[in-house]
Amino acid sequence: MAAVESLPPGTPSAMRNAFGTVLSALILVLIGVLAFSIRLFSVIKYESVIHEFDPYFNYRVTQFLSKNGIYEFWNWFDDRTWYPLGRVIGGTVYPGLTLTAGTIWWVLNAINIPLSVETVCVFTAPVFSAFASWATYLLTKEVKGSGAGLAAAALLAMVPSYISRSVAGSYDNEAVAIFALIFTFYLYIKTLNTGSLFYATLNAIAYFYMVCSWGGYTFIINLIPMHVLLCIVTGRYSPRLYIAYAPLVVLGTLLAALVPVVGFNAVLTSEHFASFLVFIIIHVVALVYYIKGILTPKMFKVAVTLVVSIGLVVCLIVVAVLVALVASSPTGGWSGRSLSLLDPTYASKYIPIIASVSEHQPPTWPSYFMDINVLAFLVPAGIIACFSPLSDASSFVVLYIVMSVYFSGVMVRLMLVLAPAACIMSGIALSQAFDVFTGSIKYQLSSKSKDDAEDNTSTKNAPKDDASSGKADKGEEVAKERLSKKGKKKEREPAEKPSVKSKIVKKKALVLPLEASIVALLLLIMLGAFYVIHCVWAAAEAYSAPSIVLTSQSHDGLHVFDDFRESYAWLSHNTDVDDKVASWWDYGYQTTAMANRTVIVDNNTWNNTHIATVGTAMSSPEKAAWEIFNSLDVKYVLVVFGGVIGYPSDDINKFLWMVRIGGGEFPHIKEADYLRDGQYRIDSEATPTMLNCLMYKLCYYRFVETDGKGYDRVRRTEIGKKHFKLTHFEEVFTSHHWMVRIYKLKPQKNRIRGRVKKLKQKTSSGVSSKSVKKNPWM
Amino acid sequence: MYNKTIVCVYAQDLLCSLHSAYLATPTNLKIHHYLIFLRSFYFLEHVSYMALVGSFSFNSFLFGVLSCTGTAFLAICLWIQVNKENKKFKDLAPKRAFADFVLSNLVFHLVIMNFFDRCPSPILNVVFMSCKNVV
Repeated sequence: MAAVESLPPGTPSAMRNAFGTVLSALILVLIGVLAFSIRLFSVIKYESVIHEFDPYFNYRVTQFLSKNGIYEFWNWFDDRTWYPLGRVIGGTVYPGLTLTAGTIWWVLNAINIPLSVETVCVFTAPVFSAFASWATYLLTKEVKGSGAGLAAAALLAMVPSYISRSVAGSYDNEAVAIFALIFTFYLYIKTLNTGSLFYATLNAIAYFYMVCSWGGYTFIINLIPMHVLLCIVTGRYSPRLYIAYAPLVVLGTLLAALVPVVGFNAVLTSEHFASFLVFIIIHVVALVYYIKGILTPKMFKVAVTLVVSIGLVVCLIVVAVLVALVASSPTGGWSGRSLSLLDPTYASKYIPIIASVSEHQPPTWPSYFMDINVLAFLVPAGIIACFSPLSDASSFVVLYIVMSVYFSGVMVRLMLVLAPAACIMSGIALSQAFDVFTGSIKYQLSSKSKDDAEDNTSTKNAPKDDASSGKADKGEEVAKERLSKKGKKKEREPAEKPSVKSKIVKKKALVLPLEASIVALLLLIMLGAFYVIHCVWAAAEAYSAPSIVLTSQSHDGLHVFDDFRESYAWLSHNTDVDDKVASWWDYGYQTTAMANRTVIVDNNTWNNTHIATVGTAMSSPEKAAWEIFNSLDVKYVLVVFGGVIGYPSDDINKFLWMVRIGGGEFPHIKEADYLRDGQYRIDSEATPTMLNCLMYKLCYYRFVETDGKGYDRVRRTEIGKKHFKLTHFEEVFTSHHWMVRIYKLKPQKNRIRGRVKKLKQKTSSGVSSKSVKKNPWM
Repeated sequence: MYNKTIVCVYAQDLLCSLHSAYLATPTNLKIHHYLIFLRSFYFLEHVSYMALVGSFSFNSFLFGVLSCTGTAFLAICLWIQVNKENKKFKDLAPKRAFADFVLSNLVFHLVIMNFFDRCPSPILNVVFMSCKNVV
């Protein structure tokens, strides 16, 4: 780069350089537009609506922020969820996403562009994905050059794994967090390459933004120390490494401790200990290098022996103290979620809620191909390209991809962290391949024309020397072209023939035959075309469903199932503001956001016992369930039922988790009572406990009236108990396709007839004396 | 006995050579080193205080410890960048290095102010609280 900048303007190479810069800027703008528009399929196919479950919570928080301001937001205690416990929102939410969207909304409204909060929330993710692809360009440029940067940015704009979590409407933490992740890594590499304290400060601030946005920031604070350790161990310690790492740890830990969610966890939990340990190690190494610099070698050896003997004793003491501290906590200082990453079987043994979320399951092999497609086999080529030559930056990228491949194998959700790494590697691989092929083509073409020209000249004294020097010329120019960035520098300086001959002999070996290069180029372009086609298909068909509106194609056109919003609207119009609604925790966020009613449990799942209470109620017979719900002041119970239209994610399919989680806390719920031959069945072979439980009754009440036989389309059988009445609940609403059913708790009877009451007392005392010890609710 | 005397002799030689090599560093850097040493000393003092008395206000413990370490390490970074013997930083102007140092210290102190929650004198306490709220 320095050689080019010193050239006077107006020369051909400076012009070409300027042209190259403009071209790459234009390409970056187009990549940004591409990243934005490929995520708009759901807005076009359905409408501008917020998807799924978690985004509704973020949307509600953003609404609160925009209405009440930031001080109220920090101090907000939400009493409309987890009744009667409530939830401290200010201290338990990652504020990055909501603050970002709130700021954008505020800025736009301040300059008189009146966008609603919902529009800002829906389109935040596509905008930040454009930023993320630009950050990928910057990061890959630091590693390998701007050609690779452009390729990586183009790949990231379209990779399906990232699209799945950042479509327009998916207003979740990852939308902003992936941009923060890539940007933090870019600033780290930039600091490593330049050794400037300015970039180190910016790096710490970008890390702060990442901590604000997502719980996955622990990936950064463990990956960077690992890389520093790797550099030290492979002998690549340099002062730039120190400047890149030390301010990040100090400033970064402080900034992380400022975020209320993290708080003192930033210095107390095991997830951060790696950074402190490597901090100490890098200081020891720095001290060793400093002393080595000012001492003679003989003295240095003496110093080493002295220090090692004393230092070893000190180290052992410190390590013993640390181990005692760590072992005193039952999980060794790690949180449950992090521990389930390190030991994939941990969650299924100890925390069934984490195990029950479908996003936390390990991925299948086809999902790798679905999510990163062509990149899956470009990545190894990229890894090899990173090793020649190996620099600090390229070793970091290799470490990043290895770690992210491991973690993506543990949880499907973490395929998202693999996507940027895969794009960077594939960008490097593609760019190197293109360089070699185009260089070969140029060399072959120009050498053919040069051979024709030289055959005509026969007046030179040493034709062999001239031919070889001519080839040396071409070889050196071609070598320079191959090493240059894509289409930017073309230095046509006349070669110094004898001195560069040795270099040329080596580089000539990289030239491939002309036909092979052309065919390979065409194949690479076709590969890119297949990738694009797959990504567009995935974005349009697979990842654009808002899951709050369902559609299905049938012979008589498109059916739209809008039952969820219909029922939430019914709830908000036909119930009192203070009425409590009980449902399974999946629907908590949507109920509070759209129906504006207080719920008992929601998607935050922070209190296992509360969820187990609801699960127990759903699995108990009607009277017991009524008692439980009455003790929680519940007025309405909401169940989701897919048997009429064949919607597979309904509450009957989730029932096994209700039983498991409820049975984990309340031992009178035994899973074996609900199983026949090890399966949950609802047909005539079902166990009597199953046929009497509240979930069965609420789902299948009056179901036989739909088709006369009670055929459940999801379970593909007829139901077991068809005609029954509800004694403690009354049905108040069933949506159009029977997907959501709402029931009201019947109030207790005012009086019971005298004689019957006495008899009831005798019989109930006789019957319930057996079960009163086991069942805490009766 | 023989080994011990040899070790002692070696230790003395080592200290002598360290001392003489250290004298060779220019004066401005020595000031740097003194400040860094001072800060490390305060850090150790703070940690031992906490170990003795207990970490009642974890906020103030963090504030004390991390302000010492932070300024110390940022000073080390400046030292690295300013040291004339360091080949890799020849093209970095000392003024630019100092400006970076000032900026990073500014950000660092903005952040550390948020941890400051108590002060011996009540008057100073009020002053610092108002500063903190402004920040």
